Amino acid sequence: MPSVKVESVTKRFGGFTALEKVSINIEDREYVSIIGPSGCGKTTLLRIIAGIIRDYEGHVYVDGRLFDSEPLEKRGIGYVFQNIALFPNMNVGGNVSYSPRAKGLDKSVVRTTTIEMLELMKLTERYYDYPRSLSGGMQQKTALARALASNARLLLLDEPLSLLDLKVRTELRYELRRIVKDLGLTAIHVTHDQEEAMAISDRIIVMRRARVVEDGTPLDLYLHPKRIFTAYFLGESNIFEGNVAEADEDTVSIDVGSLLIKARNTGFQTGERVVAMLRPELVELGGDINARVLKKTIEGLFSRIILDVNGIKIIIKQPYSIVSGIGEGSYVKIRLPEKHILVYKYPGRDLYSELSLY
Amino acid sequence: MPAVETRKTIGLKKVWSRIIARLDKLSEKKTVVYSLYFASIIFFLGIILLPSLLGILLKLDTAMSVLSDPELLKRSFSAIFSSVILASIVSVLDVVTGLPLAWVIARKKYRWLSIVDSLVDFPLIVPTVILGYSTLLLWCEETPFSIIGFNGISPGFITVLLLHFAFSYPVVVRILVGKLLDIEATYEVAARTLGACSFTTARTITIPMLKSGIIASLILSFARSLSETGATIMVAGSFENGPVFIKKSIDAGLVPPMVFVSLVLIVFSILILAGLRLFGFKLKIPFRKSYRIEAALSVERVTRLRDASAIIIFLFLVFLPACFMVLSRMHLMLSSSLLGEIFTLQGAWFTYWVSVLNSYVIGFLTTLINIVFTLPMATIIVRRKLGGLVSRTLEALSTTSIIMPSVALGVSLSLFWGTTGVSDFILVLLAHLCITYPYMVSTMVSVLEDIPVELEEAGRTLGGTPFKVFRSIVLPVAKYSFLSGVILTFTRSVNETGATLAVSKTFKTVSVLLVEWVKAPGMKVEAGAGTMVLMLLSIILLVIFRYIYTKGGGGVA
Amino acid sequence: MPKVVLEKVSKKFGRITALNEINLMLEDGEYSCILGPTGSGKTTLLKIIAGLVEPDSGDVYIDGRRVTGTPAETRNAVYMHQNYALFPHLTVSQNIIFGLTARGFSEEDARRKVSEVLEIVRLREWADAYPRELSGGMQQRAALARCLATGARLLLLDEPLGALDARLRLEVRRELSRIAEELNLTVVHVTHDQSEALSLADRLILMRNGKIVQAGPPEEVYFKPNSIFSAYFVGESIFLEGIIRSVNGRNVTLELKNGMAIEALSDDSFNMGELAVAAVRCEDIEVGGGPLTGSLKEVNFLGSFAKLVFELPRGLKIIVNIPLSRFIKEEFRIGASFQLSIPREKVHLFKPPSKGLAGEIEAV
Repeated sequence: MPSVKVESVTKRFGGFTALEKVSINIEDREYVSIIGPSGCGKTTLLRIIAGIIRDYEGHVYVDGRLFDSEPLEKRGIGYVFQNIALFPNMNVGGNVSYSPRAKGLDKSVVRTTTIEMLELMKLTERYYDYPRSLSGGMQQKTALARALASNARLLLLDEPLSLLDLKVRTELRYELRRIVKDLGLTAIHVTHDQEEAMAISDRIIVMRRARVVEDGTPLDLYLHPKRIFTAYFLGESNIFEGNVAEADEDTVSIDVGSLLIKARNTGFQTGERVVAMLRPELVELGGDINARVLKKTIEGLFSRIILDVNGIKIIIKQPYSIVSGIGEGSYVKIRLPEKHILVYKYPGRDLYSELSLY
Repeated sequence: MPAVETRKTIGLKKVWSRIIARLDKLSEKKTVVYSLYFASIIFFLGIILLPSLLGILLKLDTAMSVLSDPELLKRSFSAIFSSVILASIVSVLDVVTGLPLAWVIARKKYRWLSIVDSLVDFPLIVPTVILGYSTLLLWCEETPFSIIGFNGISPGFITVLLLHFAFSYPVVVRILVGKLLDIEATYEVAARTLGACSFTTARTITIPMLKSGIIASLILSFARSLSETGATIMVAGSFENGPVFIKKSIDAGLVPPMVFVSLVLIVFSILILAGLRLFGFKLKIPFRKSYRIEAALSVERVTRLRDASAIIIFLFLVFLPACFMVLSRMHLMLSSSLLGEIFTLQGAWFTYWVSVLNSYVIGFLTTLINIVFTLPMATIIVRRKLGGLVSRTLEALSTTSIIMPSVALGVSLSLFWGTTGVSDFILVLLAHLCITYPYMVSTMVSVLEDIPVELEEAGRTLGGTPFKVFRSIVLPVAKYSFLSGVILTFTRSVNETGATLAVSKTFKTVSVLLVEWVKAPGMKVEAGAGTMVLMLLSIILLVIFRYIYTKGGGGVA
Repeated sequence: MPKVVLEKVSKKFGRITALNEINLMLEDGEYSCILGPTGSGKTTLLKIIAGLVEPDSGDVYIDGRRVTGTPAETRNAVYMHQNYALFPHLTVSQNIIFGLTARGFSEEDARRKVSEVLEIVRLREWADAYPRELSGGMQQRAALARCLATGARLLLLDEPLGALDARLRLEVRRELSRIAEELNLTVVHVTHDQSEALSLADRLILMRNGKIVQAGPPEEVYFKPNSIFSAYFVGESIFLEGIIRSVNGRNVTLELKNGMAIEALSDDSFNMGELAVAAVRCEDIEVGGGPLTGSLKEVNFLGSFAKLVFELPRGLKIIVNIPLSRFIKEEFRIGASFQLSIPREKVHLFKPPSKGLAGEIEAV
């Protein structure tokens, strides 16, 4: 039963630090995503757990067993690659049966495992096809079947969907989760796509600049991020800079220029410099703030509207049906609901570098 | 004074930019571009392909007279047989011993291995005749191994084998390293995570994916062994293979046997090439399961032993022969009286310097003409300018001549052009063009293939005409591989002996002259000093090339 | 004024038909997005406009001038490749200058233009950097600057955001829209990302198998899909197969495979007893109240909305997207029963496809 523990791992490539004292814990049968901007170290972390990268400081334990000097082929992991990496010299059947053959298993075992995995991925008809004749989505499904045929209980997924068409990507991610859950596997999934991470995982680990920023369930990270960077990186957000104009036990009023924003007080004093955050989906229509519609676009499942409130830009997202009557240039009333506004201490350096992706 | 000069250069610059602008405009016209393609095809057919085949085919009847002379027939066939056996052994040995070294270099685990990496290139810059001379000295005449009781071997099959092994080896390693680097590491990692040990991974994943590189290596080392003439003559002793036999026939003025052996060699080599291409690619290595022995072979102790023996084989059988001559003849360069003779052009040295000049002039012209005609050819092949079928046919035809033995090619050319009464200089030039052409084409093809087509497309839609895109994007981006193609062609021409010997008895390149000196009795000192000078010249030339190579900075990631 | 017209353009590669008699008209200053799955022919279409691929038949007009057969460099249309195709041996400013000298700018004008466009894409400090020294997003902007500098008013972008991180992609998307608007460019943008196309386009062109399926303003394509594929590929819909049981003026009743019935509005084209496919946007289905009962099987939280999967009798699955604000207000417990309704005006009825429904709506 694979649980994974990474203890204070540091990895440097020449002068570049890819990981700086990273520690994470993953429970058995948990589906965890690691997300972050490119270059944040997420892939390096995955490769260290897989044993592809061997020289690092710190320790990796799987099931409580020290794994640092375990050779790659003995780790019992299934690794799924971004570039899919199906063996071009073998057909689908050959690829999927690779692992049992390489382990020298009995012919009959090789056969049953292969067929079983192909059935699971609905690929049985493709047994004799070569990878190049399959679509991208099929190829990745074959790669997954190949990894599962090794009887691995721990699945490491390195941006497995990022090279696929969007539509294929969204369909495949649910299939991925279904299979992992059905088979009771532990999965670590690296991605830069926040929506994918939210849709697929039990828990998300956010990384930036070689460190872990924070971790939590998708809903927690989206609604109550502990760090302003998480709010910025995960989904879209309205971020306001300002000073606390008034503070009592329950509420604070934040002066963000030409607007006073009220929020629950989580320990701030009058005069303190703060940052307030509100998700565009949680801005409510109807209220006493008058706003002009600057731009309205449809974005897949909802309307995204940029509003102007006395020179301050506020983004809102609402279902089409609700805002169908609102056109560019018109005025709407909005409310910024107190309970959904999160207030953060103004970051030590400045907001820009706190939010920077790299 | 300087002012005048600047004005002159400004004037020149203006003229130059005007020419460029004119060419830019011209390249927009489809007729201009297509006539260029047409010219390059005519050049290929009329100068390269047909003469090298027709010369022999026209003399077919004389060749047949060999059939009625059992003695001669037996000697001919024994020579042909020796050539083919030798080439087969050499190519297999090269690949079998070259693959582990290529592996060590490509999957470099330690930093010090980059030294081995650069050492591999060293034998490439040693002219073949020097390698031949060096082999002779190392294994037969002055073997340093006498201190451990090894007193040398007499020249013959073994020395020829050692020579051919050594001079194809670096090329084979280079090809395999390149191919290994092309194979994405993820395939091997994937196999390992699926539970395959490193040996099983190599057998089932890497080697099948490396197949085209292995076949190319086999073809190239086979072809080079079949072609090599000059150095082979130096170390052959009484051993007689195809090229040696042809050379002896030429010297004796016997036309029928030389045509006969040339013809059979050409036919044989084409058959081998076709066979390797057709069946080699169909060949599959079955994979049912992994064997226990594979796990044992993957143990670190075993892999270390394999790596070490690959490096030792390289050092003793390739690297040492390549530099032994320099070590053993260094003292000649320190004797001032000899140096005086060399540089005051006394006695034989006048002929020596003329031959050096000959070599370099021929090399320069060969390279230049080939660049002009192979570039459009490579464009036709890679960018499918005249349709897929034409491209594929031209590619197959132009690379086929790589495998034709150069001495046989020379025989054919001299028979074809000999009747027209052209000068020996032109004959040698034509021969060198034919021999280097396939190398140049395949380099240019890979140059163009490596350039992402989107760079050209971007250049075009930004408003660049085809010629502007070519000179300001394609050429600079491909600078390195382009230059290495130029170096390859040039050195190949300077090293060439077989065809040169076959087309002319009087026009001597430096390689041909040195073969004569080594074989001639009583020329030991001259032979030693002559090879030393050639070695120095080669190194100087290489440094100059390197300088051009790295000049201009920038570099392409 | 760059107006692009394609007339009956067809192109085959070997036996594969990449484009099949495409007719298209793009207005000056319009931002068009060509949307479609891999292999739908969208890149070929773009390359034909650019002059990088010649059509087998048909004609291309730019600005009313027939350009079929003319070389790419004379078309005054710049093509930006997915990988940007920045010249690796030239710095950012040299990359930009290439296009300028190619179009006969003097050196002085070229220099001025370079700083002008670098200002637009906010890359001024990186003028002397080589492409490899830039991050993905910066490379994208440099390539854009190179296109803008040529002064070409027609910009052809092949998946310009495809190589970027998801987060960065959103930012650059907004940037692209700003630049196109400010400079009043005519843009043709190829993508397989429907939300990218919806938010950027003035006109959305949906392609499949070398044909245009639907073209029009994004709202029109989104709210009035003309085909099953259109409803499937743009946005998210569920598809229900059934048989028409009653027709009463515009009101029709569709009996689903599991025996349940839904109401729909239709034009005159459906008769009693006919087979039909109903497409409904996942956000148009109402949860709480209604004639259908389903048990909640799966909840996927996606940030702006949550995806609820309900199972109805006999294995019928209905997916509903509900906005975040509602998702956090109510309790959606897996296994619980919910009442669902499908408003009849939100149902789009289509004839059943000849090759079966799966052939139209399966991506993998």
